[in-house]
Amino acid sequence: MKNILKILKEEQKKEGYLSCENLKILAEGENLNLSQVFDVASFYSFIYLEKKGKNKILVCKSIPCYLKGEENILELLQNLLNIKVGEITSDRKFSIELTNCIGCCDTAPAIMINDNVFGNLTEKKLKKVLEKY
Amino acid sequence: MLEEKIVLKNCGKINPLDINSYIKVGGFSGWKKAKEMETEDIINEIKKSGLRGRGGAGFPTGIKWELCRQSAVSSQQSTSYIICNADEGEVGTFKDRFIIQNDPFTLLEGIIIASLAIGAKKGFIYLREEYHYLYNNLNIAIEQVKNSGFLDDIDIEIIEGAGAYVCGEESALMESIEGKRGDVRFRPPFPPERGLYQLPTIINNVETLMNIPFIILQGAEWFLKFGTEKSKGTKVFSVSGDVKRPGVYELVMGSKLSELLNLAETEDIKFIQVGGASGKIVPRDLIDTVLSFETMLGAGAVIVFNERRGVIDIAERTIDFFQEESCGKCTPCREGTKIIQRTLKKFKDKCAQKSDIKILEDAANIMMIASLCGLGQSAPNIVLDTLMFFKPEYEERIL
Repeated sequence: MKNILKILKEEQKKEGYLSCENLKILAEGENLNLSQVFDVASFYSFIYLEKKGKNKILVCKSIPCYLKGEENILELLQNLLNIKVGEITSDRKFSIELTNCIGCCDTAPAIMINDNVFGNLTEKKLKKVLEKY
Repeated sequence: MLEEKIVLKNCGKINPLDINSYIKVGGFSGWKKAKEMETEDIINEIKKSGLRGRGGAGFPTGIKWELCRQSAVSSQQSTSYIICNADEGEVGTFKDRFIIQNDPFTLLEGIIIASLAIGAKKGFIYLREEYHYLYNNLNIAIEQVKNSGFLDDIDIEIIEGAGAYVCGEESALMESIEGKRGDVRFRPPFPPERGLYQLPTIINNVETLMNIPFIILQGAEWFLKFGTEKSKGTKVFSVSGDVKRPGVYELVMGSKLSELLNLAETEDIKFIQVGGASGKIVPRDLIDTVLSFETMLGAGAVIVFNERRGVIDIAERTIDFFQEESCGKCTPCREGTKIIQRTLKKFKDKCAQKSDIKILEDAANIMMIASLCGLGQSAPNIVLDTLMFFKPEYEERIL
């Protein structure tokens, strides 16, 4: 039995997402059923089926972050980047997504940019974080 | 009761990137002792200690190991697996992250001792994708343990998830390691009988495994000194929300919730959620509730809500979470979360009818009875508990 998730993750490293075309080629190459491949791909939130920004921003919307002002951080972020959740900036540098608990509730509100976590966010800190990218 | 450091004993005292700092404080002494023991004796010691799973379900660890050992022997399987569940996805939980960041060595020692007990040659650490930033350091720890000769009997591999709450459920977790959708399996058979790749498997939470080296080294009798009749040892809590000092606290089992809250420094409290999104609601009047498997515990997430928090708002957000994370395999959970979500929205919009309370209760009860796994069985807790303690907040939103 082939490890489909592993194959998908490996492939995703190339473009940062998997297009329908990608999945088709992958399924054929690996001699797998396309619906089987899509079944796995669509299940996991870290397998992306649409193009994302070069830097994926994930805003934690779970309750501990919500209590500490997640909504303000999200609004600020959307204004700073001039995009909404699910969109990509015109220079393709950033995209914003919402996510469930990332296990940083002790430093809420927190976001992830790619694999890095930034917690205890304030307006000032968020601006500073974005400058790094 | 007091704070007691067993699981977190080495956190902050050792360098998580240097095995020598761990050996200096007595690291791998439990392993050395276990190596000299018969496998049955290792299992019996853990059984005797009364250690129960810290991931939330509280199944006796020693019995799990014994079942796995027995099924490996009786089915004449030479291969069995040990999986460390580091898919900490419960809302408000971050203790396992803290442990891996601060003391990966005790965890690895625990996995190695477990592998000796069940005869596993291969171990996996299922690490949630959100914790990818822990991967490198954990891998460095594994390499150091290997190079120091402690990994001669077993190979340990980190497998990363891909963002799915339900994969913290053991059968979904195994499906995910196999590269499939994280759909929950029908049980029986349970993992000790037929687990990963249909082979005998044990799955233990990070915190559970952290206890193992200490129990083996100091004996079950020592461990039995801590806790209540049915909850031995300590519990590591993740405290967040409306508190001054959010963080990780380790308390003896049976401590009062109020004692934990004192450590985390609260101002005003309306209610507390013990056990994360799937946990139980405790109103302020009941903060002297004891924390144990006999009462309430879950994975130890404690979220505090102050007087200004709306109950419906919190319930709605919690159910949204479950609706999103339900794997969809069983009808009660897939449809139940949607029904509750829809109905709660009516309360939020202040256009609910009296009968909507019954709809909430009915959907919740069916989910609890008939869902396939813990996700669906515990998702309605928030609805039933808030209806029990804060019914007026619902009623004032009825047209």
